[in-house]
Parts: sequence; structure tokens; C-alpha cells
Amino acid sequence: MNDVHPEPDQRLPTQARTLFAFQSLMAAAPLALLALGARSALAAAGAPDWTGIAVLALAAVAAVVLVAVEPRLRWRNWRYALRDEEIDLRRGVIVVTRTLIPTIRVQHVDTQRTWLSDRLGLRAVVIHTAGGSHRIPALHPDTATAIRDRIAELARRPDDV
Amino acid sequence: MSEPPDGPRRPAPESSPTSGYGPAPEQGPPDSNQQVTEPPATPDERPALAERHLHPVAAALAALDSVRDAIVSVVVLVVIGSQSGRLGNLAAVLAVGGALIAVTLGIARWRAETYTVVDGTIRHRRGLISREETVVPLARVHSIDTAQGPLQRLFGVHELHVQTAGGGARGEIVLRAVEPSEARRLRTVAGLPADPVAPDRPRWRLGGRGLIAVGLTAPQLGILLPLAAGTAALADNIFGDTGIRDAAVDAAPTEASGIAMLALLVLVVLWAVAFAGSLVVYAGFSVVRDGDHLRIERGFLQRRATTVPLARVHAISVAEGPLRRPFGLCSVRLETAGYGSEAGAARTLFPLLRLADLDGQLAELVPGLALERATAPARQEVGGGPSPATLQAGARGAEALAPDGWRRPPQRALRRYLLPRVLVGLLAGAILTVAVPSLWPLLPALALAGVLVGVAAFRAAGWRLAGGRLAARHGALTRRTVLVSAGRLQDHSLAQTPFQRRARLATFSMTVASGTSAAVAHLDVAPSQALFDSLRPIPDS
Repeated sequence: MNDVHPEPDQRLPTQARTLFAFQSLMAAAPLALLALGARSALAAAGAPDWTGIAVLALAAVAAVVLVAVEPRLRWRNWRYALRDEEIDLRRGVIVVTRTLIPTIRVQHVDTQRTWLSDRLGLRAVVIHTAGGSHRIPALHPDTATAIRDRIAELARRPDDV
Repeated sequence: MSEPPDGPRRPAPESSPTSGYGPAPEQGPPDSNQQVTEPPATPDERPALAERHLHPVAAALAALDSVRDAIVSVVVLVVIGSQSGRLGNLAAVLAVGGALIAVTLGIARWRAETYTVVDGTIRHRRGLISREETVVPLARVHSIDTAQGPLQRLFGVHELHVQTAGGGARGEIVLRAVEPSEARRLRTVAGLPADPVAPDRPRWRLGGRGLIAVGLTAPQLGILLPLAAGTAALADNIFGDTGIRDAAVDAAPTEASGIAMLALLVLVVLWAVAFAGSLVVYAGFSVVRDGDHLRIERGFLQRRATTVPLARVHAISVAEGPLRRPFGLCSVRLETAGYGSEAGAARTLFPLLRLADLDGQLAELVPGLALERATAPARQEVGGGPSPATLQAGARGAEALAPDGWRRPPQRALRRYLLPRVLVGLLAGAILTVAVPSLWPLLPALALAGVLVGVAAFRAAGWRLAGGRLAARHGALTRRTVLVSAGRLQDHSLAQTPFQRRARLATFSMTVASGTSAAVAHLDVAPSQALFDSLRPIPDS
């Protein structure tokens, strides 16, 4: 066997960007509240008007980065590969993490759907090992089912935990 | 019965809990060479145990449970009652009535609870109103553990925990009061080694001095000491620097030293609690390897005997706490699939051990993780990437945690270990200084603490692959080493931040079956990548 694992090459479907954007939006909502609160606090403390506006502008920039830029980067960096002996994941915008999960260590595999992922025609696949779980956040339903069944088949080789 | 008295005691011939559903007695004759005071176990022809009740003391235990559940209402009633005389009488009536109900319920529950062995399954029935029945196939039972509380000990009975692969420390079936003879019979029927373990098995004991040392160096204390020192320094600072102290000394001489005394008192009390806690939990601690099982016994008030199949011990983690490392001491925890979420004590292999003795003890008790039995010399140089064959090969005379052969972060990673910790120290110091200006000496002190912690973390970090065992170490105040058979990792990762990418560094992390993970930060990227690529699962036989 070759000592080096090839880099994973499968991408997530493009709809994943929309899903990520909605997820970021939910993360950005408290940010907006925080900014509004900070602005009124500044106003109450008698700070000049521009400070409040600066806070709002800063929050707006952060929101744009969070909602428009980060989801695209997240999507662009996500790679996975499913091989007979391992599941290979690489993801992360700033911290890029690559993880190998031996298929014989897989205990079970879930597919997950939410209201939003249904609208976008996406499914998540969650791979459980005795040590924890790993998630491929967005896949076409057919791919998700195929991956789930494939992993289940590969994982059938017994692993006595 | 047919076995000669000195015949080797054999555990279940199949160690795997998944060895099929065959009738249990085929798996081994009952042990006739034990000091059986009761009638010997049922002959082989009887595949089942007749349905039976627990020992009657179970009724008392159930009644006590009811009382414990009701204790809050009772206290509320008594408090209310003490306010007004009439209600007081009512409370007394209710308390007596409640006690009667508790006893009646306890007896009723005891009568409703039975267990039996039928069709190769253990069946446990209980419940007054909603009847519950738990059925566990004997083939799935990997151990029957015991616990013994004060009441159980008084009556010479045991609490039995029927364990399967899925469960935690609390068994799938819990039988709260079973006589020893009955427990032995149940074990025999389940094809498990019966009590007690022969004296010639590899064994490790925590002696009296060891127990006291455990208490004295209890991990909680490592956190308490600097905390108390900090509090004392704080008191000294507040009252020292602002001149309040002089005033205080004049006005109320005990004011400033009072706080220091209070801190000292709190420390002593907490320390005493930690000490007593360790004593209660670890008193009489012993580990015995009986074939392919570990039997761990511990506890003062509540005696517990736990059986852990070695096949499920995927890894161990070694903790060198701040109070233990200076003396070359550590504590060792089992990383066992299925027990991951249990409290620390339930997973302890050695509460206190000399680090130097670890290899010898592992070879005796957990040979799967020891290195001695291996044959070929280890190839510790991983620059080229070890082959799977290297991973399975062994190290001759190498020691699991010996200082050589470790891959450590390079010198250029040092500042990455320091920077975040110093920043945290500075930030905390700055916040404190802004809040209480007289605390400004804390600012450099905390920054210095950050440096020290960072250096400690840098010096602890590293990994080693030898003899197919992968060790990863991290931590600052407490050093933690996770030692795992490299082929049994659940997953492993390599992560890089943009800064690390520029500096050709990476962070390696791995997860073992208990869910415990270990990460070693800021390693040279090339050997880490080689390690990442070389790790392959080895199927468990």
C-alpha cells in the first residue's frame, strides 16, 4: 500500500453555499443585536455620533464577511473522499483540518435533514465512531444515501470495540 | 465437578462477547475448586436459573430510596411545622405515615422484582404499576460486576451489575442484593470466571502509604494551591498597597490577616475534603489480570469490583499532575470503549504509580499496550514515513514513555506556545488593573505565569511511535499522555492555521475509542504528515 493518502477530491454541491450562508446568518443575528446595543450604550454615555455609526459600520462589514464571504470559502475548502479503507475529510476556512476515519472503525452512519436543507435539496451525513462523530454537512440526497450505504457496507467488517 | 482440584481455572473459552447464543453451561464447568461454602453451582445439565427474588435486604434498600427521594418534602414539612404547632403535628404524622409507606413500598417492590436465566438470556422483571422486563442474552454479557454498600456489607450480599458492551459503569441489569453463592452461580451460567481470582495472577495494589500519597497529591489540589496563594497575595496587595492595611491594623488588627487566614482555612477544608474523597474512593484499590480480563476493586464505604475485558482497553492516558510530576508519580486511566463518559474513578487503572514502573506494570496487566513483548527494534525515525509493517513491529526493550524517541515541536514553535498564554495573562491582568488599580502588580505576574505555562506546555508536547504504540503528550500544569495501539485509533487529524502553514508547522490530533482525544500543537509539518499518512487501522481479530 502506498504510504501517502491522496488528497480528498470530492466537493460539496454548490447549494451548500446557500446553506452555509443561512447558518452564518443565524450566527450574525446576535452580532446585529450586539451592535445596536453598543450604539445605544454609546449614545447614552454621551459619545459623539460617529462612534455609534462606526460600530454599526464595523458590524455591517463583519456581517458581510460572515454571510457573503465565509460560506463561499467554507464551501471552496471542503473536500471529502470515500475509500475502501478510510473516509478522508478536509475542511476549514482559517484552520484547515484534515481527518482520516478508518471505515472499520465506523459504528453507524446517519443522514440528517432539516427544513432548510430540504428546501435546498441537501442532506447531511454523520459518521459515528466509538470516539465521536464527523459530519459532512451538505450532500445531494442521492449522494448522501449512496455514501451512507457504502460506508455501512464497508463498516460491516466486524470491529470489536 | 470432574475437573481436578488444581485444574487451571478457565474463563469463558470465547473472550468475545459476540460468540453466539449457545447455552451457557457449555462454556465451562462450574468452579469446584473455589472455597465454596454454599452448595456448589448447579450441574451442567441445568441451563437455567429458576426465577428468584433478591435477598430481602433489597426491600430495605428500596425503602431507603423512597425516603431519600422524599427527603426534600420531609425537610420542607419539618421547617413549616416548626413555624406553627398544629402543622407540626401534621408534619410528624405525615413523616411517620411516609416512613410506613416507604417500608410497604419497599417490600412490595422487592416482591415484584425477580430474575431468572432462561433460553440463554438473563431476564430481570420489576415494577409495581408498570412492569418492566430487561432481557440480556448471556452471550452479550461481558462481565458481572459487583458493588457493596454499607448495608449490603452488613448482610454479606452484593449488588450485581450485568454489563454488556453498550453500557457504562452502571450495568444493563442491576440486582441490588444477591448472595455470594447466587452471584457465583450467575457468573458460572454466564460462562464468566467466578469469584475470587486466584492469588497467582498479576496483581497491583495500592498500599496504605500509596493511598495517603494519592490523597495528599489529589489532582484537585494542584488547582487549589495557586488559587489560595493568589487569594492570599490579593488580600496582601489590596490591604498592603493602599494603606488600608495600616489603618486596618490600627483599627482592627485582624482585618487583613483575617482574609489570609480565611483563605488558608478554605484551603485546608478543601484539601481535607479532597483527601478524604480520595481515601474513600481509592481505599483498597487493586487490579488483577485474570486471563483476558482486568478486575479492579476499590472503595471504602462502597466496595466495587469492576471487570474490564482487555480487548476493550484501546488506550490508556497517563496524567502527571503538578503535585505528582516532581516526585516522578503519575496516575493512569483506562480509555475503554463504552466507559468513556464515566467518572474518573470508574476508569482508573493506577491511582498513583511511579512513572518508571509504568512499563513493568503494563507488561503484567495490559500487555496489549506494553512494549516488552514486541520483537523487532523500533524505527523511530519517521521522516520517510514508517510502513504499516513498522507500525506492527515492536521495540526491543523500549519503554512506553521513555524520554528517547519523542518527536517534539521545533524550537521555532516556542513563541507560538508562549504568545497566546502571555496574551491571556496580560488581558486578565489588564482587566483586573482597570477594575482595581492597586492590583497592578498582577499584570506582570500574570504575564510571567503565561510564560511559565507556555514553556511547560512546549516542553510537554510531543509524540512517539514505537512498537506499534502511539503516544501523544500535551498539557502544561498537568502533563497528559495518551498511549494507544496505533492501529486502533478512531480517527486522526492534521490541522494548520495560515501562520502554521507559513512556518511549516502543524497540529496533530487523534481520538481513541473512549472519545478522549489528544492534540499536539505546532509540530514540524514533514514528520507529522508522515505520521498522518502512515497510520493505518489494524482490524481487531
